Amino acid sequence: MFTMLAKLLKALNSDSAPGQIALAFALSVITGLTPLLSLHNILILLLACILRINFGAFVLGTAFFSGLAYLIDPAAIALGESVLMNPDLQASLTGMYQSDFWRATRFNHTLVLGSLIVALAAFIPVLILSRVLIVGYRHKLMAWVEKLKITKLVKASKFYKVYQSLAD
Amino acid sequence: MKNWIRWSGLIGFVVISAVLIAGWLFAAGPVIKYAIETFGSDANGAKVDVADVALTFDPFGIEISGVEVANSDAPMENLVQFDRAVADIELLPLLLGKGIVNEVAVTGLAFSTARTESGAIVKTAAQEAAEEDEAQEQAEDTAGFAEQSIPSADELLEREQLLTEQRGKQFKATAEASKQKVNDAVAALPNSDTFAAYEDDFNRIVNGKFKSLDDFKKRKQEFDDLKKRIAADRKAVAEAQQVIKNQKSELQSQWKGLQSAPEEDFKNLKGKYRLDAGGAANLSRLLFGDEVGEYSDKAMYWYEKVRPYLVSDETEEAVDTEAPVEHQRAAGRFVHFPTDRPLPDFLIRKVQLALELEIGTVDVQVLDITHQQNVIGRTTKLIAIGDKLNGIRSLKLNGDFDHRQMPGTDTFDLTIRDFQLKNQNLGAMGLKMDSAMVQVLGQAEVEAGRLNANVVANFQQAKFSTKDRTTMAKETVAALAKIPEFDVQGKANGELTAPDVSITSDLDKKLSNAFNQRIDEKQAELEQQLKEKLNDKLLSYAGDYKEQLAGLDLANGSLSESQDKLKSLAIKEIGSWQAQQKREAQEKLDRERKAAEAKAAEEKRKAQAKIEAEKRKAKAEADKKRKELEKQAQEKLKKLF
Repeated sequence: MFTMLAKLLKALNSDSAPGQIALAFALSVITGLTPLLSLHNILILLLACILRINFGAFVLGTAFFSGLAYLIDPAAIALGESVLMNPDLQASLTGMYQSDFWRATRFNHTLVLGSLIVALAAFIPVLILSRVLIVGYRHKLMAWVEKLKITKLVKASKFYKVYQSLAD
Repeated sequence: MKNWIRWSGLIGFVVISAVLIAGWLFAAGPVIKYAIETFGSDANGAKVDVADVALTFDPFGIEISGVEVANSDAPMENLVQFDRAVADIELLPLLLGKGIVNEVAVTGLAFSTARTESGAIVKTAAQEAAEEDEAQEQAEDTAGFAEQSIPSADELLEREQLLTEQRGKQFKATAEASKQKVNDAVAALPNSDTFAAYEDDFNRIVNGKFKSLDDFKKRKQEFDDLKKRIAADRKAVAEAQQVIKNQKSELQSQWKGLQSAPEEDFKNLKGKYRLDAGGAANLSRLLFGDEVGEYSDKAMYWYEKVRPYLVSDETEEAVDTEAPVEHQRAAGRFVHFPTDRPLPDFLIRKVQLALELEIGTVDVQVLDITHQQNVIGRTTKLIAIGDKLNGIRSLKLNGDFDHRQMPGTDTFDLTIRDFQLKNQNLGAMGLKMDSAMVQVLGQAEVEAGRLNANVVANFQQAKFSTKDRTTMAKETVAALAKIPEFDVQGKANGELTAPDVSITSDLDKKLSNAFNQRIDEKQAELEQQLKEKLNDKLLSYAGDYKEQLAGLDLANGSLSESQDKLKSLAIKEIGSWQAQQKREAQEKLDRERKAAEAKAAEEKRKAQAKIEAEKRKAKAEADKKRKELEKQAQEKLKKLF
């Protein structure tokens, strides 16, 4: 975990494109908020592998949003229930239900569908927000943080040595 | 854009995915084999062995070979075995954890084959205890039915608690105890030697004159001691007499009870095992009961064996709630939509197999095997069809296992056309059905553990014979020959494990008179046997009662004699010294008085004799004078006339 966090900090402090880190966070919203063992998460994992994004950020983001999912799940289930029971969508949903592929995605599960809708809705905001925060961190916060006593204490710690070894 | 693609990541993803899939493919066979053996054994109650399980890819499925399902009732026998079964499995539902099998084709199917090793499962103590309880309950359930059959006299006496036996054992114990008590009491009594000694002592003490006062005192002391001994013996004899009297009374009382026991037993048994038209003597049951019982036992056996594999009474909700909770997140639920392809957790759409039986090949199809019929909305169906079988023109069995709602209902329809029965031994009078053409229609329904079945067999062109030479058997065959067609209807209702079975037929009416006669004969025969055997039992317990009673009487008589002797001895007294002197004086006076009286009597006798002589002389003279007067009077009368 230390290594993963160090990699994230290294990425934040390096010249890596902020968009790559932001995209990792955005993708982790989907894997984190939705049940992990779902067919769509294989696609997300594939994207996380082939896109040049920060994998540490993706893993940490998945862990963070999985924790957050405990709070969001009841609302996500209610949302999935309302969508699946929506009379206007019954024809479409019934059509999808006839396909083994769509059944394999478990789209007819209230938690899977509800949390996926929440995650997709949050994808763009998280992408933009995290990019803005990374850029802001690099331009303003990083210089101020360097001057803090706690930063100096951290630099003297084992954690920083790990960070340094990776930076080198 | 090039900077956004990481080709090494793609390769890594592919490699990892390939490793996972390959691992799954290698592990799938052993995992499925383990699952079949473990869960199959649990459901079957005996070992289910699988030689090999392999995956196939065109179409995707599994091939199971060398399956042996052991018979839980006979562990060295396979209930069923097959060489190969190929299952066509749908791949995508597997990603949802659902096993959907389109078709299972089974080859090399065989039943009741021998095993090389036992198929029994090692059971825990708790399981064995539970099975014993169940067996006991079943035995109690069937006990009532068993009483309906006609047992022999020996079986009846063996089965029942008899008063004859109870009282006989009690009588025997009392007789032995009584013998011991009497022996103990008699052993303490004086014998003939003792009596002789008493006589000798008594004579020695009382005979002869007292020589002196000291001699008198000494004899008096001995006499008193002797009387005390005699008194003690008298008391012992009296006690022994009382013991004998009590024991005799007790034995006689129990003997009366024992004598009446066989009659009471006989009445009880006769009432309990009365043979009448409403009991075991139903002709149809007697003739066809064994056959119907055998067929229904077989049907129930296979139903119980096959049912766990076809359906389950678990609902989807029950499965979900019983599953361990592995995820703490809110669960959500599946929303199902109308479809012609519902996906339960497990489904075999079709099993096709050919049963090779003695009567020929029967094609069997089982459709929609699942434990979640409520998901697919269809019932599990069984269709067995046999055409042009050996001795049967056609056979059709339809089964429908409807467990969409609780409680589930299993229904069966059986149709057999032109079943040629030959050389069928019947249950009574040595009767044999040489040939008959039978049409069978049957329906059965099992719901909530209760069976409701009705089978009608129509017999045509039936020919009977008998090896029995009794009048009854011959008359029955003759009567049966006049009946061109008859029906036998079997009904089974009640608990699945012990249903009430009834068999009726129009044969009953036609042959009831002849059969009633047979019943009477059997009843009389049984009653006679019972009486004889109960009497035998009575005699076995009576033993040497009469000899013992005679012995008691003899002992009692002997004791009475002893008592008399002792009594006579006891009343004897020894005189005192003064009394002896007084007695001697008295004796002297008595002698003198007797002499004087004798002398006086002699004189008196002589005087009396003299008076008598004078009286006779006077009378003789008077008679002589009277005769002379009469003679004179007669002569005067003669002269007068």
